[in-house]
Amino acid sequence: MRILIRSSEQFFTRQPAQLALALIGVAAGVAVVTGVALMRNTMIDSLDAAAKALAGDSSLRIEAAPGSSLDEDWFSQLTRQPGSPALIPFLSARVRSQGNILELLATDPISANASQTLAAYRGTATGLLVNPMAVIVNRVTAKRLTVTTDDPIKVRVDGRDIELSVLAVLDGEPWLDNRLLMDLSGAQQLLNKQGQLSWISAPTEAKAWLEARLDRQLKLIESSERLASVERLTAGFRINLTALSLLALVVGLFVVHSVLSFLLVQRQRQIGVYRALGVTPAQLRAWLLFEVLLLTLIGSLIGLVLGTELARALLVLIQNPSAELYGMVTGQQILPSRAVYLGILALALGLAGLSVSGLISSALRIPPGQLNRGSSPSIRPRTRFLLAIGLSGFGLILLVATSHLIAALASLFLFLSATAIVVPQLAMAVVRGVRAISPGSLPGRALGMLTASRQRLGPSMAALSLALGLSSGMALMVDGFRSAVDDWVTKLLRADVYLSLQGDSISPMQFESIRADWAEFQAVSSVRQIRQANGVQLVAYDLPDAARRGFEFLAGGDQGTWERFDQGTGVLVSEPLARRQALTIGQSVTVATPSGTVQRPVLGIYRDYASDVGQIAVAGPVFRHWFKDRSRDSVGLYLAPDGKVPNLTELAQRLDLAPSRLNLTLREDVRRITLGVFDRTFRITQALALLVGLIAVVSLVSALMALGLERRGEYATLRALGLSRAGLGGWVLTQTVGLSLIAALLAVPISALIHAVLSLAVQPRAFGWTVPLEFSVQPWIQLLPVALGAGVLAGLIPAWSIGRQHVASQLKGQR
Amino acid sequence: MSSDALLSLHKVSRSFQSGMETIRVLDEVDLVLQPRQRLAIMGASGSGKSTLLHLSAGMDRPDSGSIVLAGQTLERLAEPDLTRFRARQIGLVFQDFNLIDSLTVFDNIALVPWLTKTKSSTKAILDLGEELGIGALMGRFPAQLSGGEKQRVAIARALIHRPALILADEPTGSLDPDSADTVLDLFDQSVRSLDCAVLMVTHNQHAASRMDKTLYLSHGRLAAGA
Repeated sequence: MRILIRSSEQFFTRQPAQLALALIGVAAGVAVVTGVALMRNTMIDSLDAAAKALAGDSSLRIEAAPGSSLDEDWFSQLTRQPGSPALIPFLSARVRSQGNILELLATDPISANASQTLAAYRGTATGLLVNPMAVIVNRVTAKRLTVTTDDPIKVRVDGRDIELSVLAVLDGEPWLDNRLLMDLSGAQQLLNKQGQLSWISAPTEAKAWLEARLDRQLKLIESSERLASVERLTAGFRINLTALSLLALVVGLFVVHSVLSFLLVQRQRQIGVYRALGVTPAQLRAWLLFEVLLLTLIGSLIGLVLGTELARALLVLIQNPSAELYGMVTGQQILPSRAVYLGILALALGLAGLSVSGLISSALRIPPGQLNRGSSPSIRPRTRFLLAIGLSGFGLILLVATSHLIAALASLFLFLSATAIVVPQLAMAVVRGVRAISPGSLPGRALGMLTASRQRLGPSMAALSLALGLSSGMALMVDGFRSAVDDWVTKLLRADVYLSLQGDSISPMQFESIRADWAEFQAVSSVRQIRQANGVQLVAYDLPDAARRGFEFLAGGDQGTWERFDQGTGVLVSEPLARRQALTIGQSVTVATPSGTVQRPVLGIYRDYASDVGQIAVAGPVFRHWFKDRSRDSVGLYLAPDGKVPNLTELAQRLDLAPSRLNLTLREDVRRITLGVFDRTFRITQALALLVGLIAVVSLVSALMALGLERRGEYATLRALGLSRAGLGGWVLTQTVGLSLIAALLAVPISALIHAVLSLAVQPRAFGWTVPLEFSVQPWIQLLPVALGAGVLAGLIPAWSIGRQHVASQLKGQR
Repeated sequence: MSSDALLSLHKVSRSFQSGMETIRVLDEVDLVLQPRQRLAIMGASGSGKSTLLHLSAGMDRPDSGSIVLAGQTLERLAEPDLTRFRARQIGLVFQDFNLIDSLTVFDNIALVPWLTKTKSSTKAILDLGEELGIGALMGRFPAQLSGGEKQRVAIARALIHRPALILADEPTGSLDPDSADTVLDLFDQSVRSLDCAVLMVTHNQHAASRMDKTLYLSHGRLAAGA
């Protein structure tokens, strides 16, 4: 075995480029998987990191019940009771600074846990007490905001620009990533939330004590519940990213497969000799498997390091979308996880072994003493075709028979596996077609030469077609989705202008004034929403007829629907909620109110792309009856004929408020902001699709270099017969660009397939949205420059490498 | 150097590195080949015969000396002129045939006119094929041919553009004796009919005897006798 391994060492030393490309392919695939996994973990882990640091590991939270706010008096009352546990008050809000969304987190800095956490930083706890407008940040956040100790930080809070000062910059402390730690009273003043809290933290062992004493208006939430809720909230987002990253790993493994296939063909003679001399099939298998696993191990270790860095970059990309979509401020610091690293390593090794098992089996079939270099045995076309049909069929069954997201993703993988099997055959059919149409031309001759290397090129063509198909399929899905969101928001936004108050709700008196006295507007709609304990949004609508026409119903929605809605005898639910809870018209939903739960039947299901969490919509009067809450979060103002929107200052005067307190947004601006959130959200998936594409180009470079080495005899002959160096370069580039263009052509139906599965199955199951299946040509047109670029890139190295050698030495190398 | 010579090598030397050792394969070799002359070079394995051939074809550069082919000093030509010049003036026949596996017999023969952008009609290719006994094989691929058939295709490829000089490197080296004889007969016949000069490197005494003259390469030097 040692001798066999020494021969591998010699062999790889003579093929450094192939070795490098194999390592790059594995490393890149593993890097993407690792980056996404670590980013995903940080997303979840960082959520409660701050609270854990300041209030201890296992803690309960006391929060206000839906529809009410958490008064600081509750904290005072509980702490005064005999046997009261150690309670810690918190106030949290999102603020913006230099385009970054941060969490302003305020607490009592001299509470036991906070003191302990800040004990290492002398003077910080008392410093916060005596400087109410001061904040503590960590190094990562300070770097992001380009501030240091004693510097001012400008933050935007409720439409107001406030200047805070940096009291201290702490090293490390990942729980402070993207957070500003402040004293509670200072934050209450800053946020205009005097006497209010976001939650009160309590030790787990105080659960029974608290349950016996908490008012109905308060609820007790364990940290595991909170975590589970966030995981459910972000499940669709995280699963989609994970699926993309796994695809990157598969494409990366194509590179390994391609290189090993080449190495096997190169060593067929050697293997024949070994078999003749007495090497057993078992020894052969062990040797080849050892090579594969060693290559994969080295490449994976590199990939784990690169992936950790990639995770940092991905975190930056999801920072704002995470806050905008889910209200989550994510950490910046990646916490390397042994479990993640070992898991990915095992996955890469397992998949690599599996992907080359066919190659190794074919190597074992080389008879002892075979000294001629033949082509590597391959699966017959008919068998390939049947295998592809089988995989597709199984995928279709999975898709149709179940409604799980994982099943949809699994079926997508099966469909893609089926296409990977048939793409090589189809690609060679196109090549033969080009040769048949124009046999005497450069493309005809150069591409025709490749038919003898179809087994070499097959995996790389499959990888490139899949990568291009994935990239354009995702672009099609995003384009279609964006178009749907644009249509939806355009239809939904009926008011001419929308009004809300910074950091506050519109009081009943203010609302009445708007409705009665603002003559420019002929109608007013309003919205009030609260989050229920199960995470579902309860939304109260007061809607004029014009607003109702903006609702796009997927079920129900006739005139009777609105009548019953107004009477309070039923509710409307959004599509995501209907999907999650498998609701249909007539089925009941439960609404938690201060006086207990209420059941109401579903009258209609409406389209809502604003949130994948789900909404229950009730009529405004019904909501106010249940919750005794007459405030409004925002109002929509409908201009009367010939009416003009007054300016902000005038409207503020009418409400006796400072203009900075008002948010006045024109309909078009709301649309623009909505689409901006959408674009930021999908940036990360586009980044990942690009990475997959790059890995596929590596795969093609690897295969074409291997091709160049394998066909060097023919290239030498061509050079000898009269093909100049430049001519040979053109020959090779014609091959690579031709192959890339063929891959792009085959990527078109692949992209259509991916778009269909993503839009019709994955999106509804992940987020609860149906996305119309629309096709735009732009993603397909964009394939052309990408394929050309990939082809040129893939051809440059082989063309240079082959062309620089002397004809004589190339010819001699063939003897 | 004779100004009428088709090919002249004047004090041509070539060395190669083998590990730490420098091997002087050709040592100030002089060679003159007249138009339509047919010359065989014999020598032991590793004596530099193929190197001599490659230098004559411009596929390699000498360390010193000069090579003139059809009045053109090869050292003065740079790529791609050298390649174009070689393609037009020379036909190459290799020991291992060096056919392009993915091209048919017809396309293999048509490759050189296409590369050199010289006109060659289908009829000319077919006629040459008939002459060499491969007329019925035009649609086949090299993998479907015997060794003798492959070498005949290679010869047709070398002759189709009517070069002034044929360089043949062990043209019968991979053939059994019967096939070798057949190939030699056809080769002989064809080059005579086209009036090509021939420089053939060979181990085969019988092949060498068909040439006008035989030279022996030994220790880097050419001599008339063994």
